[in-house]
Amino acid sequence: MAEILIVDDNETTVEVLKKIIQKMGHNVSSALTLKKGLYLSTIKEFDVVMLDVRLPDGNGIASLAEFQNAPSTPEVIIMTGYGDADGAELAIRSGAWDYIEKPASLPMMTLPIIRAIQYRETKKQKSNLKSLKREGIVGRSPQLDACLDFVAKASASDANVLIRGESGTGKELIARAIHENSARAHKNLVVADCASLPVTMLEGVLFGDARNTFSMDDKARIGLFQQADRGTILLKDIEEMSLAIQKSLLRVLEEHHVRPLGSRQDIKTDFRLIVSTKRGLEELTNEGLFRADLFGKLQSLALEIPPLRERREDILEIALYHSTKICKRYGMGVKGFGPDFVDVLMAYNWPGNIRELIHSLETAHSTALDTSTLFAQHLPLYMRVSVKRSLIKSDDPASLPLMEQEENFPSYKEVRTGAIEKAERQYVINLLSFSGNSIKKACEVSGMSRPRLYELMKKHRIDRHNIIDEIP
Amino acid sequence: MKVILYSPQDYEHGRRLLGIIEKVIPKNLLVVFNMISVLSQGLRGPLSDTVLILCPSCKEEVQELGALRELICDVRTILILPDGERDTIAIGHRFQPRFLTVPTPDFKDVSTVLGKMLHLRD
Repeated sequence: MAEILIVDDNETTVEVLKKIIQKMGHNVSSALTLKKGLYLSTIKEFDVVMLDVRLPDGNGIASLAEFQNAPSTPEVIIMTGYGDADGAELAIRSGAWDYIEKPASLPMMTLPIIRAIQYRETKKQKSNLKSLKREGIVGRSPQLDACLDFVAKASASDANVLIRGESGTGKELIARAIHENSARAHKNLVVADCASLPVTMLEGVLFGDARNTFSMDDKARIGLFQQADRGTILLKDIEEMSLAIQKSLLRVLEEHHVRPLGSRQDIKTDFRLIVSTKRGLEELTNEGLFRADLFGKLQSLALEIPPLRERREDILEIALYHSTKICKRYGMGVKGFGPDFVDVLMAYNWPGNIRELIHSLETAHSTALDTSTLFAQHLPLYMRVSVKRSLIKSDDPASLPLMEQEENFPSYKEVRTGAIEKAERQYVINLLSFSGNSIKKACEVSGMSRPRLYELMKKHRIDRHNIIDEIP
Repeated sequence: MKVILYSPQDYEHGRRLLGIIEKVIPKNLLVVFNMISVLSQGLRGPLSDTVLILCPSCKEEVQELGALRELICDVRTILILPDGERDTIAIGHRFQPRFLTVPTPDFKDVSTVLGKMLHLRD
């Protein structure tokens, strides 16, 4: 629900607008004079101000900057008289979000409001994400933004978290980010790798072992759940846990007490639980390999991390990040990427996800020790072969079996839409570059309205501040 | 597959651990370091296929090894802490180890976990 302020001296217009906006589910305040409007904007946080130009005590456009500088920095929509082209132009030039010509139809009234609110929400989300600690989590794709949104949400809560994703997608990094951004960050993040620990040891490692059969240190057999007191425990690959230990875990989750092996005493521990899995726990539950009651308790907050092949726009940024790290570790200067190297990275399917990308970069860097640029030949052979094979398959329809051709051949509409999207995106990038990242100038040059330009930037996920990186 | 072991030369637990690891993996796959400065050089190469076993002799050494955290954060690490004190454990968790323990007479837990890690790799 957004907060909207209407500043207009026409009481009928105010009443009509109020009803429309309230019907949209937002709160409305109103002012019949500029003075009252400015006063309201300083004492209340508004998302959008709908500002008339001709007011009894002054000109709305002349006060535009004052409204925009209010504590909530609202978006301002100017309302001009019908056919007042100069007023409309002046409004946009002065930095208004949009303008409405009065009287306007319902969609003409509501659309700028909806867009302004959506824009503000995106802006808020972005600023929340910017302040997140996200060590090692690299990329700017919408899929990754969704994961970071989840991190922000999960960090603010103490609920159990379930992270699912293919091997190498970065489940542990996401778990670490949740811990680092939570109120428990000053305490331990304890990781238990259920796949690396033999079944016979797992229970003692998790809950403690009072039998002390082999330790040389009395305090040594404190279980990981106790070590995570006031912190977070991450159980990796929970699907590897036996049904017997799942039962014990369920009890620990319900009571927040652990009983070490061989002990009759329960020990209280205040932990936050995060689990990760490569497999669908629902499927395992149906197969009787995972307890349904435990599964229910684990999925208070659940995240599915997308595989790397589904967020290809992040590949290059991740590769650059890890290449710099590898060069630093190897004690060598930073290496550049040759175009064919980038082509293979972008075309490969990455079944092993980010972990496989890091391994292949390590191989490339150790193969290309003396050269300053990495070329495709420095990548593992199996990758290059896989990419070549897939290119031959997709470039030459004649080489495909008939059935496959029919399934893969794109429709005219798909090709046309794809080409338009590509051209549209490139146009906006070039336009912003030409305009020196000035939205105002870009609108003037292109003849597009400000909202339309923002809409295209949003659609193609173009950040004007990073436009230099996007110029081909 | 490669296993890197770090333990100071005069550390009794480290010597015993080495004897046990040598029974689990072939000698040509094992690289041993006795000094942190030399270890940091040894980590400047591909580590994707590596298991790192750290067996420091005192808390100060654990802290000293912390300087290498950036080099080893992506490496599968087994950390054998010199003691089970709360603050030593807290430092230990910052290494993001796959397995964290303290010395035992037979290091059975370490050899079992290492065996499973190597088996998983195969």
